[in-house]
Amino acid sequence: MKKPRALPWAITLCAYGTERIVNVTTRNARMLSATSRPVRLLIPGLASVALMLNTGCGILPHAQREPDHVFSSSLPQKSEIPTRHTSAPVEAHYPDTLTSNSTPAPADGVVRMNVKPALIDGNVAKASVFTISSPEAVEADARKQAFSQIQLVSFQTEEARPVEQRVSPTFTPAEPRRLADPCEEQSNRMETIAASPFADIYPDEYIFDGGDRNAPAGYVAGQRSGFDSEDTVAKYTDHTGDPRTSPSNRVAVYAPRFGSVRTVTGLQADTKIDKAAGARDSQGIGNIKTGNAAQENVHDTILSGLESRNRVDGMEGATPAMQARRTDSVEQNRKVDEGHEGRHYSSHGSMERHEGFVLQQQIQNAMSWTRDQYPVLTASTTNANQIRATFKVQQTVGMEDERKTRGKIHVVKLADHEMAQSGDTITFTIRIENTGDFDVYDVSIVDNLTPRLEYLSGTASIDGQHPGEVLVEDNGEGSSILTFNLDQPLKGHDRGEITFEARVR
Amino acid sequence: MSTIFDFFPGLQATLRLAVITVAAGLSSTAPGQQDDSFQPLNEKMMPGFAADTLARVRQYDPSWLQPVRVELPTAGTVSVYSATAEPNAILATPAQFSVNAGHIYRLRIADMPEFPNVEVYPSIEILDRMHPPDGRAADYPIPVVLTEADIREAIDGRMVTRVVYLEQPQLAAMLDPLRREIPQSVDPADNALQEADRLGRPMIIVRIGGRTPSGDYMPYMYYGSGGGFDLGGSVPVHTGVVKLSDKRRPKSSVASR
Repeated sequence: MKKPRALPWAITLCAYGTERIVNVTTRNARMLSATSRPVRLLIPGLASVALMLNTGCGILPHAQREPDHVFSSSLPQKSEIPTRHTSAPVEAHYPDTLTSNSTPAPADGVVRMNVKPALIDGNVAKASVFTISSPEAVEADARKQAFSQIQLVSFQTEEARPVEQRVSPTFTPAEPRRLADPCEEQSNRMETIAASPFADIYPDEYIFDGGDRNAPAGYVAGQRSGFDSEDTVAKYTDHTGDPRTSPSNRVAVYAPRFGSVRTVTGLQADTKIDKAAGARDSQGIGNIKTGNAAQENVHDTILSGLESRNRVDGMEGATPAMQARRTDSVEQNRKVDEGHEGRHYSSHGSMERHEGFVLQQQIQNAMSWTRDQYPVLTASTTNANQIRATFKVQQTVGMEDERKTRGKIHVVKLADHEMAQSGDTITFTIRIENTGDFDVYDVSIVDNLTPRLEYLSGTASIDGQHPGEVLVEDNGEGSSILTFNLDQPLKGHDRGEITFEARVR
Repeated sequence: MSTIFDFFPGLQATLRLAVITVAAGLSSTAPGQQDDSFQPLNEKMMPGFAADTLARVRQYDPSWLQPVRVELPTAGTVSVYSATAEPNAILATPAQFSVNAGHIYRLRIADMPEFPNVEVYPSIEILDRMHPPDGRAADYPIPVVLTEADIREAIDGRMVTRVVYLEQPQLAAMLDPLRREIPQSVDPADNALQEADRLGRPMIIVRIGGRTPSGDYMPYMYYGSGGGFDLGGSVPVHTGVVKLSDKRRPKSSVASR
């Protein structure tokens, strides 16, 4: 640790001395020689580099800086340790179980936890013994089992342990969260339950329900968006308050339906089909002609205005419309527009002159607002030692929430038919499961039925353990949107089931 | 009956190559994603041309026989021909049989109570095939529904053309598009195949005219292009017009004809 700090100072002193010598030499010579010019350019550069190394402007490796947190692997030298031990490193180790070799096994119904004395910010944390007594041994066993999951932390200063026993602290990080794999999300979204592997290749032969096709389903400003037909999506809020959506898998029911386009040719058929096809109706869109007429009216209005301008210029003889369409008239119109713009600019200039102090005040307000929100204050609060100590005490006491994973709803959709004909009734089952540890709130399952499915009124139901309501609304495509709202949050690792029936059209 | 192709032998091959090239470009679109792009084929082409062109592009499996079901207004018989003047089978309506995609077949409709002593000879041109789950193909045949109006207009000398398409489910209507009271019609000058392509996937072109076979000389491929045929689970009927020699004949022997 000392070597990197002595070297910059040595470079600085050498550079300073060399510069003094060169300066004296050049003053005596009253001129800069060709050989001394690069030397004069090099010396300030060396001095700058040395100062940067000395002051630690980011050139030194991170490991050579002062430890900025208690779990830093670098231990400062003894001479650098202040007397108040404000930055004394601590050691953290986590025993696997509560009962170690050095600690006698507690009696039934008593769980004992020992914490070694700690020295944090000059305050000695006395040895503490947490005892939990219970008259019933069964409960004690249960609590012992529960406390075995608690991570114990002990603090020890440098003075409390010999130097030769000083080893690098061991730190067991928390179990990292399992991030959602976007590829897995995509595969889940596209998973299809079908009677044939050709369902995804020839989707026009199947009726699909479930998944999230086209635009992703979600809520924008409280409004439903992206819910296309066939979509089945669970909408909920996790424990952090973030709104989330989870699409279900797709269910493919083989139920092709056919249509036919008919045309008739023949001598007499031409007239007949022309009447039925309605092609003339499409071509006879009279609105286009109406729109043209409206544009002509606009031109007439301009022409009348041009005539008034002509009168001002003394062109009273040029009243026919042909002369009114001249470019000269158009230029007069442009002048009128420029007049409006000129007034606009004038008003803008007057505002700067007379209301300049208002702008200055607003600028000052903006600057003060910026200072108030400066993030340095937040960073200082985060670095406070009190926060760190409080966190560890919570771990020792055992207030840690054992729930790790965020609540997430997985939706599985099933159908009791893999193939169907028109008129058949299909019973759909939607199974929801919160695969996370935390509860999820405001759970609602939205199913936008495809036009080939007709919801049978009164068949929707939610299992008795999860009361809720069912809303049925028209989806605008000839079918329905079913919305199942659960009244209560869905607890972690809890599951529910929703069923409804639909008739194949 | 000579055609323009008889005077210019290379013209038909050139035209077919050009159509195949354009159709190959269109076939890159996945099924069910048809758009309003240009349709090089239409129902006014020579019967069998569209199916043969698509078969060359898509390379249908010749061993696959697509079930087809022909429905008449009320009752009647349906005879199926494949390249020969002798029918493969005579079935009662609704007549269900299996044929090859990419081929054209001739039917004979007779014994209809609404039209006594009347027989019409429509043709069915199989453009595409279905892909049902294994063993369930017979449950999902392509329906060919002939209405009483179709038969009447054919008797009056007009040509009625129907393009049967597989409906796009996401664009499906509430009502059954095949049996609706007001049929989907297009102007004779328009391309019915393109309209069917816009609504779904064209499967069969049905042409019903008033022409009846007369004499030994008939146009090329009048009785069909010689595709495979299978009765499936259907039982043929004897009408006395054409007698099937052996009703208990194995299906494989029937299909080989």
